[in-house]
Amino acid sequence: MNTTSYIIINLLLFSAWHIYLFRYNTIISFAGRLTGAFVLGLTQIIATEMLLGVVLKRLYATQLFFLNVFISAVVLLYAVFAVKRQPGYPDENDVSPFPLNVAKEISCKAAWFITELKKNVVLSAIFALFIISVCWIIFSGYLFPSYTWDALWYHLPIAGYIMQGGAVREIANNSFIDQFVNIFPKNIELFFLWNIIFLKSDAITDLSQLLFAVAGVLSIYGLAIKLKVGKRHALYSSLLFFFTPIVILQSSTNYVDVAVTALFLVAVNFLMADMPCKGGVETRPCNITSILAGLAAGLLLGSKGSGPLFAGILSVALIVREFVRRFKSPKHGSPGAIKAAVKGLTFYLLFFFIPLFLMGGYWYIKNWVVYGNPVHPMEISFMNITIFKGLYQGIIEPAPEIINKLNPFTRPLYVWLENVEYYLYDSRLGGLGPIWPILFLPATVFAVVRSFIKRDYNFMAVFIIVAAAFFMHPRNWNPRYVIFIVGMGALSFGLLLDYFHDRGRVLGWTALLLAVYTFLTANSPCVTPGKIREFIHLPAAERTIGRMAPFNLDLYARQEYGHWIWISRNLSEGETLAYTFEPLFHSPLWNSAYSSKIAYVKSETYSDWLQRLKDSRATYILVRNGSAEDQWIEKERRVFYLLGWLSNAKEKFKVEYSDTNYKIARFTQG
Amino acid sequence: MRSGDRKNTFFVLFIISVIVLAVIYFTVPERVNFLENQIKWWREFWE
Repeated sequence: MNTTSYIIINLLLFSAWHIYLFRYNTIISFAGRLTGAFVLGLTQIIATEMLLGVVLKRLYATQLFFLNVFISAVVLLYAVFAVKRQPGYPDENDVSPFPLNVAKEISCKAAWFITELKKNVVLSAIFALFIISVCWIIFSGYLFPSYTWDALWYHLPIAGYIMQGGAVREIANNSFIDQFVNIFPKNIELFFLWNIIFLKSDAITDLSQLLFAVAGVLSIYGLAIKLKVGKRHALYSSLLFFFTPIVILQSSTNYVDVAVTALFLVAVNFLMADMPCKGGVETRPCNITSILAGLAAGLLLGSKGSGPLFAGILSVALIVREFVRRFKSPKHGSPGAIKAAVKGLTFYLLFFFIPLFLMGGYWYIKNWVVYGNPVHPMEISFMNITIFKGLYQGIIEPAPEIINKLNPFTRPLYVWLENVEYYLYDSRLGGLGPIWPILFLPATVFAVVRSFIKRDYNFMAVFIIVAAAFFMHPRNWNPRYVIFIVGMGALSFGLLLDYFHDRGRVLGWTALLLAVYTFLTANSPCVTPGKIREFIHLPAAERTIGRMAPFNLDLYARQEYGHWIWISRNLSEGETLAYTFEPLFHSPLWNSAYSSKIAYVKSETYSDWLQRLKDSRATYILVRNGSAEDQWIEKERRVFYLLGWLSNAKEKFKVEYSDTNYKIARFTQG
Repeated sequence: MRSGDRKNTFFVLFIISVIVLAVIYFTVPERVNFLENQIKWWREFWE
């Protein structure tokens, strides 16, 4: 039933938006409408979760399911039955947008795609590798629990706290990580939650970013077509973008970097209003594409602390586009610079800023209200004037020593050569793979020079947007923060293949070889063949982080595995685990469905602690051996065993798990 | 210079730059260990 409801709601939600967007088939390409449906579906998911979680404080599976069924049914009915047509609808005698036409289009596109593959062996091989990689990611993501550091540290706990409270609210600031849980923009975590709440399991939530990776691939294709790259070479560009080790590795983790890059590329794609079917610059205001760009930018704004940088760059790009379009367009009678600027700004505010603000602004406004700083705990200052006070003046995470020794221009170059012994989901000295420095980087140089000579303003616009994001990012040497540059390289490579035409075959084979190399080497050292064999034979409930013992955590977490495994086996829905110390990670303290609860319960005195345990409705208590709480429990148990038989009193603390470091006791009130 | 000749020249230049970059990329000191780790992974996989 859980799986059925999850499949039904996702099919209904995304297909409704895809069918709705079919009416824009003369304005938005097929690939664009697929990413558009993804953006609108994601918007609906996050908007409904925020409505239930922030406003109504009732974010539970049933309410979320029926609210989304209702909205999607309305969208679907409107898409199917609304007779209003968009101007330029191809066949006036055709019926209004209808699912049958949508299905026909999908089958036509699939047939065309298969024909393209049959014509080109290299493209077929790259596509086959892509499919095998996606299947492998799904397999490993399903088989293994979320094992990545930041996922366990705050990405999944954010989802956990929202699920246990049925609300999106601040939690008590008991530790550094609690503060981070509070201030972090939570759009992508709400999508992680979406992939847990119906299934009552976190088995596939680590695959959430795979959808973003595919959206990124489709966006590169859409952008390539808009840049007049031939369709076959556009397919090359889009598929090769996927063969970035950090994309492959993060697609099965609860990180947000692939999502950030994909949303940025999606927004850039929708900002490029040059429609292939029009054969030139779109002169009519592209309301829908601007709204989609705004929504993608808003989702990005609410995904990570670096969101405002991308949102700002995209905003400037849209304002400039609108200004140029209005100032130069003969249709508008060259209204003059000021008038064009005002009209452009009005358009920006209505069709870009409002969607952007609605989908990403909440987290910053909330931080401003609660902490007096929209980007708390970062301090914001300009020309030595502090605008917003904060706790830190820069990025908290220190850079590797080698990076500090290099200047800002050589840092990325050093990282692109990948002086690493293995790839990791957050590897800081590598991760973009060999295709970027060997093929895409020179291709970008070539394409930029060519665009200046040929005055290809569309390409220049995309390049300036991506380059601005790259050069303005304070950590642009870190591959996972700037995956989008690979997208730029992929587009340039497509242009290059077009330019060289038949000579480009050797480049296609080179790309295939490097894709094969990436496919073979982008293995996570945490997912070892031995563990794969072991986990295949384990039931889902036993495939836990404690059993996995991944090498990235093992050194720090091996003493935690015992109680993590016990918790995943024994804590059922509604149980509350009270912990009494700052744990390494919060995430493993919930059960795998996140249907249990956790609470930090600490006090100076036994009586007060007891009262707090009752107030938090604790059913289990996790203590460190030798701690004050451990001594209280032992004292209470000694008294019970000595005198308990005199009365009918129940044992208050029944120890159910114990190892050399930790104890878990069942707590009975009364 | 004719367009075809110019393309040929650019193509040769591009191929040379690809070869040079490939040599630089694959000869960084850590690449040996990187490849050894990957070969070990796949050997374990097929065992």
